[in-house]
Parts: sequence; C-alpha cells; structure tokens
Amino acid sequence: MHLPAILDFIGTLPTANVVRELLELNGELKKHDLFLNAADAESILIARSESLKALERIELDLKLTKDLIYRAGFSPYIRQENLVETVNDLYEIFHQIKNLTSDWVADDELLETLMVCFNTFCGGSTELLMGKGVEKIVDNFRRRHELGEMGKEEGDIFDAKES
Amino acid sequence: MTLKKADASPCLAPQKKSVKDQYFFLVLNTCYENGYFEEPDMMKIHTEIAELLQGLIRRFTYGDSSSIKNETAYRLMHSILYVLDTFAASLEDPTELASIVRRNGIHKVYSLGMDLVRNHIAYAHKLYAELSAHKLNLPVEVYNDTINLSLPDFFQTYDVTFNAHDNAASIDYPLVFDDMDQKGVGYIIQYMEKLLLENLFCHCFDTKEILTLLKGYGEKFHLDFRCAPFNIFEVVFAQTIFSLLCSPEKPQLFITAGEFEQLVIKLSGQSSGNIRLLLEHAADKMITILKLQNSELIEYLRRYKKQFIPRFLTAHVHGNLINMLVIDEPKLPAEKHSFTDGRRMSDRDFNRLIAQLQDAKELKEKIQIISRQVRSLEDYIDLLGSDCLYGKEYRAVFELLQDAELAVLGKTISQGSAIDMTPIFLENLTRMQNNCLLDWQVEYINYLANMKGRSRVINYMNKIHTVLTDN
Repeated sequence: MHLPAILDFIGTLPTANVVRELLELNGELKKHDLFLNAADAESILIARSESLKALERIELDLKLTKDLIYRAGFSPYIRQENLVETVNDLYEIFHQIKNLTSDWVADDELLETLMVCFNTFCGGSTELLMGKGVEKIVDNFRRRHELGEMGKEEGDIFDAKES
Repeated sequence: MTLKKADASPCLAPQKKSVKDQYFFLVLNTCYENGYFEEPDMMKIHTEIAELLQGLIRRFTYGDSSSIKNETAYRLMHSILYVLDTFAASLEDPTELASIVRRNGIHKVYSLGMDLVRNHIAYAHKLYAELSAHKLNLPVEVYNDTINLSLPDFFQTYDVTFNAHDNAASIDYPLVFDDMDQKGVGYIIQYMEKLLLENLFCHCFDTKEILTLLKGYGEKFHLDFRCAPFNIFEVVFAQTIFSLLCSPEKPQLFITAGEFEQLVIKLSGQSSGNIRLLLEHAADKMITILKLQNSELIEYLRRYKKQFIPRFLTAHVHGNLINMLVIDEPKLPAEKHSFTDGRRMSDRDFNRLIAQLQDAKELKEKIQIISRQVRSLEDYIDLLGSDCLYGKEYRAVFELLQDAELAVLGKTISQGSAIDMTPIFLENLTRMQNNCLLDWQVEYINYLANMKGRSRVINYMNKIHTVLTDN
C-alpha cells in the first residue's frame, strides 16, 4: 500500500458505470438535437483522464464532465459534429484555469463564467477561449473582480462593436 | 521485519516513541505479511483511506470543488498519514493495530489519531511554558528568536486538519541532538524537550560566567556570539569537562593558560584508553558535583559524552585541544608598552647608542642604556641584529620586556602563523629556530621555550594581528 496508488484509486472510476452515467444525459441532450453514443462517452472519459494527468490534477467524481455536457446542449455554437471535441476542450480549459487560480475559484462559478465567455465573447471558438479567454478570466480573478464582469472595460478585445 | 515492542523509557510526552514517517503503512504491511490481515481486509483499508482523503479534499475546498492539484492531494494525504502514524506509534504492541483496524475501521482510527495529535498540541503548549520559564538570560539572538518568535509562530500556524505533518516553523537554534526525521507537532515536542534539558544543564552555572565564556568563545573564533548560530550547551559542557580535568574538585567555566598547559603535560604520553577513562570519570564527576537528579538530563549528558570523547581524543592526537575550550586571558596591564609608535631614533642617535653599548663593560650597564633609550620596535630589532650583544646578554634584554613586548618580537619571527601550545608546539619552535637567520632570533626561541608562562606570550602573539591591524 503506498501513496501514489491511493491517489490513482481516487482518480479512477469504474468504466462501465461512468459510461452509463454519461449516456443518461441523452435525455436532456435530445431536446437540443444532440446525442452521445457509448464510443463518444468513452472518448470523453479518455480525454478527461489525459487532461487530468497532463495538468497534474485529481478529480473526485464526474460532476464537472456531466455539467459540461448538460450545458453544451444550450450553446448556440455546439452541434453534433463538434460536441465531443468541444466538451473535451472546455474540460481542459476549465482545469487550466483552476491551476492558474490555485483552486481558489469555486467550480460552479468558474463553469458559468467559462460558458458565458465561450458563448458570447469567444463566439464559440475554443482557440480564442484557450488564449485570450483564459488570460482575461485569470486576470479578473487576480484583480479580485467578479468573474462575471468580463468585457466591461473600454477597449476590451471581446467588445464586438470594436471588432 | 520483526515487529518490536514500543520503548518503555520514562516519558514526559503522552507517548515517547517517535512518530516515524509512514509507520502506519509499515505496521499494516507487516501485519499482512504475518497473516494478521487477509487480502479483502487490505482492500477495505485501501478504500477507506481513499474515502478519508476524498472527505478531506471536500473539506479543503469547502465543498466548492471536486478537483485539486496532485500536489495538494499529496499534502492532504501526508497529513492523514501523520495522524494514522501517530495512532500506530501510541500502541504498546504494534500488532494490536491489526485488530483495532479490523474492528473499528480506518475512519475511527483516524479520529482516535486526531485526538492524540490534539493531546500532543496541548502537551506542547505546556512544554513551551516550561521552556520559557527556564530560558537562559543570554543575548544570543538565534536562541532568543527561536524561543520568543519561532516556537510561538508554530502554535499560530500549525494546521492539524490539512497539514498535520508539517511543522512549518523556522527553528534556527541548533541542538546537539535534533531528530529531523520527526514531523509535525512531534518534531516540535522533541525539540523543546531537548532544549529544556540543555537549559537545565546550563542553569547549573552562573549566567554572568556563561556570558563571559561566550564572549571568550566569540573572540577565539572571530565571531559575534550574539548573532552566530552555535549551541550554548556544547560550549558549557566542553568547558566544564576541561575544568574538571584541570582541577577535579569543582567544575567552573574559567580555565587559565597555565592550567591548560599543565593538563597538556598530564595528557602527553597517555594512551587513548587512559584518556578516555579520565574523560568518563570527569563526566561522572560533573553529574555528582552538580547534584543532577533529573534522569533525562543525566541520560542526555551521557549520550553527548559519547560524541564528545572521540572528538577530544582526535583533537589531542592532532594537537588541537586548544580549539575545544576557551582560555581565560589575564587582563593586560594598563601601563603603556615600551614600544611607542613614532618614537623611532634618528640614525645619529642610534649610532651613538651602539657606540655606548660597545664601550659598556658590564651587562648591567648595557641593560640600563637600552631600557633608557630604546622605545620603538624597529629600533629594538635593529639593536638586536647589530652584533653588540652576545649569548646570555640577549636573555637579559628579553627579561626586560613584558609579555606583550616579547610577543611583538616573537611575531616578527613567527611570520604570522598561530603557534600551538601542546607538546607539538616545541617541535614548531625547533622548526622555527632552524629557519632563523640571526643570533638573537635563535636566542629568543631558546628563551621562549624555557620560559615559565610562555603560553601567555604565545596567546598574546596569536592576537597581535588584530592589535597591529587596528593600529
């Protein structure tokens, strides 16, 4: 019995159960003409593990993944073709920001901000979100601004009127 | 691995056995290897520890997050382990851990461990109060800062829930025995217990005498004792042992050059075995004369003695015993030296002096002329090298001089190197004599080698650099 094994144990979820949990979200996704099959669910879980490993984090449960998939349904920029890829990108960006803010930001607050940023200022672009979006969110955090107060400053790059 | 019973030594703390890192896992794995656990038991333990960690992560994030950095998770895991280690170390018989875990589960064991850690914190508070009450009143910054600032800071910052294994205290004052393998409040407890013992020993001596000793220590090693990170107990212990070797009746902190010289003579030619016996006897005598009754203090002194003796023997063999103690220097006389800066004779006066010395019939007359007219070091050295003095006349001139003045002369020959005072010192003098070019230098060395109290001159000679530099 040793330390790394215990941490791995926490990070590892029984595959069959979690795939079933993700597929249960199809009830909601259907309302937005979206659907996840078993292969999609496994792909998301593999990407999740790889992101956590790369970013050196552990996660206790599937809540964030499920919330992301649920919210994806409400995004005007997510379609069936880019559902899995976008969910994976958003998941990775989420944990990047968690690292950059030293886990000081609550999950729900950060997820809300991320989705607003993605759906409005970034125009559905995860590349833009990964670059300027992350920078802006982290900067607001460090200046102790409310995370929701994005794009209110003059000359902000996310201001659609200026672009 | 054979499981050993816990130590049964008398304890001040709730438990005396030190909390070794990952001791809990070590005992569990050994229990498993010896058949106290089955595989399903180990899996259950594994799962329960993971659950403990999950719960702690949720508490750490106030329930606002379901993920953390690996680094944070490791830290929380180490905190849990410290608590489990503390519980495991509290058991008289380590094999009891198996039945306790099987019966109560890990969550209960963790809870019991937390109670123990909190008890330790309460004990540490009491220990700190005792330590503060027995603090030495000495202006040693690192000692005072450790007691007045670092230890209170520990109590302010110690996080028993999320960081139990980390003592996070800036402890700079060095002890002679410091168990750096210990963690958390356990480390702080062992540190304070040992510091208290060292203080109790030092309290056997007058504080002013210790202060004088430390000043001498600082001067000897060219350091400001108020700022340097050295151990006070070590200095006092060494001085006491040397004092008892010099005069067994009473331990004191002042040892004269003469006493040390006598000791060196006494030890020369003795075997290591005999010297070891002398040291053992001196240490025992110290405990008796100081009327020490605290068994932990006596044990501490005996443990330190085992370190001290080999160092003493090595220093003796290499002629470096002088470095292990502080010699009480006599106060220099207030009167001026014969040598005075700027009182160098003119060439005409010097030549007249030489002529007078050559005309003088008796030694007594020569000495009178010299003591009346010569005032500067340079003139003295020129005079000695002028071939107007012979053989025992040099000795007569040296006898005119005070220790300090002799030291200044000797310094010109020794070429800046410190001279040891052990028997090897005589060999050094012989080597120096072989390098001498002038008759007076040879005569000086002979004079010094046979002089009573030469140690004073040599000690002063070793200080001359500072004197001359300041001038």
